[in-house]
Amino acid sequence: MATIAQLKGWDSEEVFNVDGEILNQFSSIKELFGNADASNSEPLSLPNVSAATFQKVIEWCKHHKDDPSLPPLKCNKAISEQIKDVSDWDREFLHVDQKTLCELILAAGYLGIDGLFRLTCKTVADMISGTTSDENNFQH
Amino acid sequence: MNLNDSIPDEIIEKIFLNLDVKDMCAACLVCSKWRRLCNSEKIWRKQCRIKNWIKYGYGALDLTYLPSSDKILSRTNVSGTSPKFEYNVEESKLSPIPKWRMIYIKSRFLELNWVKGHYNVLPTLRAHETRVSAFDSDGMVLVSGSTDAVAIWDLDNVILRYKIPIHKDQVNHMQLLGHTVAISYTEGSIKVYDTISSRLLMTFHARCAAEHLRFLSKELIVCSYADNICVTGGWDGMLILWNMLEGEMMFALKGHEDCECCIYSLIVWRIISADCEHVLDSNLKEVYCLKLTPTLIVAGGTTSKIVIWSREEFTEMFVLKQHLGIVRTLSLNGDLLISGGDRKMICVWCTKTGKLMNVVHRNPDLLHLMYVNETKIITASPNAPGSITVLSYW
Repeated sequence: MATIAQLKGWDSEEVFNVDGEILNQFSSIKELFGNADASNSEPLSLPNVSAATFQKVIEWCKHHKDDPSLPPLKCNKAISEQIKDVSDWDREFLHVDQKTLCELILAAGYLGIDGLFRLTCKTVADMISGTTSDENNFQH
Repeated sequence: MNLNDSIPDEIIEKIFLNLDVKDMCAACLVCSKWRRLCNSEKIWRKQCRIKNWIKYGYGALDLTYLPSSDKILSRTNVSGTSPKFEYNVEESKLSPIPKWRMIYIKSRFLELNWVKGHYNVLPTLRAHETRVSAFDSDGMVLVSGSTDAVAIWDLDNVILRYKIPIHKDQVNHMQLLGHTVAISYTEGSIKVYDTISSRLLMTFHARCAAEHLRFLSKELIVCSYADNICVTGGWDGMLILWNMLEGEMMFALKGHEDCECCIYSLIVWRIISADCEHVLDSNLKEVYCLKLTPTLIVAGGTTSKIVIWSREEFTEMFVLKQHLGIVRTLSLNGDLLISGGDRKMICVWCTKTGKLMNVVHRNPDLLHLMYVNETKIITASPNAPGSITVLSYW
């Protein structure tokens, strides 16, 4: 892949080399790099994403790089009907503490990774659903 | 770091879009912030859309303004099972209930009334001395006709708006469209009235058209029109497709063995080419009523059965048995099928499961006309003097 973007998290100097296949999934920032050869420019710092989270995001994107693009959500059907079952790999991937999960949602939203964003939102919703208001410990 | 502090409101709202209504109600109780976020118009509008209840937020069906039927009735007329919508929110500093959540709550109440058979009987409409031979309604206005008069009713207040006397003639068929009603008479004329002022707008003397419309109410069993195509049938065993825009006959379909007064098997025709597609035969004997939807074909007949076919595969999905005597009329309202038959029986069915929801025992002995919309069932019997019964589920 021709385009290689250099990105780093806000909290560390570690530089991630991102190839075109993965960069394409970052719909909100891929335009920044265009077709230019980015390999010799300054690494871009992502203000809202930590290095550890970015590592996870890249891991997810690598695994899902061959996924077909997602159909837009239809507004007359429940979202739970439209999102396919979560795969075992994804379930294992999201088997993390709440802090990491929150950071993943933010990162997915910020970078515009639609698939990961839907998946993480659904995961949180699944954690909320079926609980009573007293059991719900998200705010504490 | 926790969900509440670190994640912006818009994203929490996206997460809540994944929840179903029950979980959302639980989430509302967690804290005032969650309550505010759950009470977003967007979320509840989506829930209404999933249930196909958007229609209850607009126009004539807007449940925010539609007066419920218990307001019309005197106190003495209300029984224990009469629906009465009560939902009082105490004044507080919490965020208010948004419009679409209120519509959801009211629509759910209406849905449960249909399922459980909770309705109010509105005052009987009496204006005709002879049997009611035709009526049509749009939910707000009802127009009924007999041999003596045409009556225009205001259904919101259940009062007679106008009574137009007729001499030596009989109303055979009528169709309501906006503020106008087209009425065909036995003597061969079609008259168009304004339902607001009762003014006569137009008179046609189309002899053959009226003759054909006479079949619609007397001998014809199956008649329906859509997309400017009208399907009619008569004594001769033929179904005729009419192009309403050009007033021309498109095709005459021959295939039914016996059309003397009823048809014995249902034949499905392809409208464009007039080819026979399928013959449906389910031992209904004489078919008295038939309804088509994009997915279903529903028919009822002499053998007290109602049969639901899938329109895609032409397979029998359900056979509904509850009626005694002839099943005379069918209406569909969303997933509900309302069937009216002899011996004081109106049944409410679910077309998805084929289950009987409830039985309404209110109509007169015999029933020959029925109109159903989202909130009402209107029935008329072939007895004299002609009276019309209105059941309101809202």
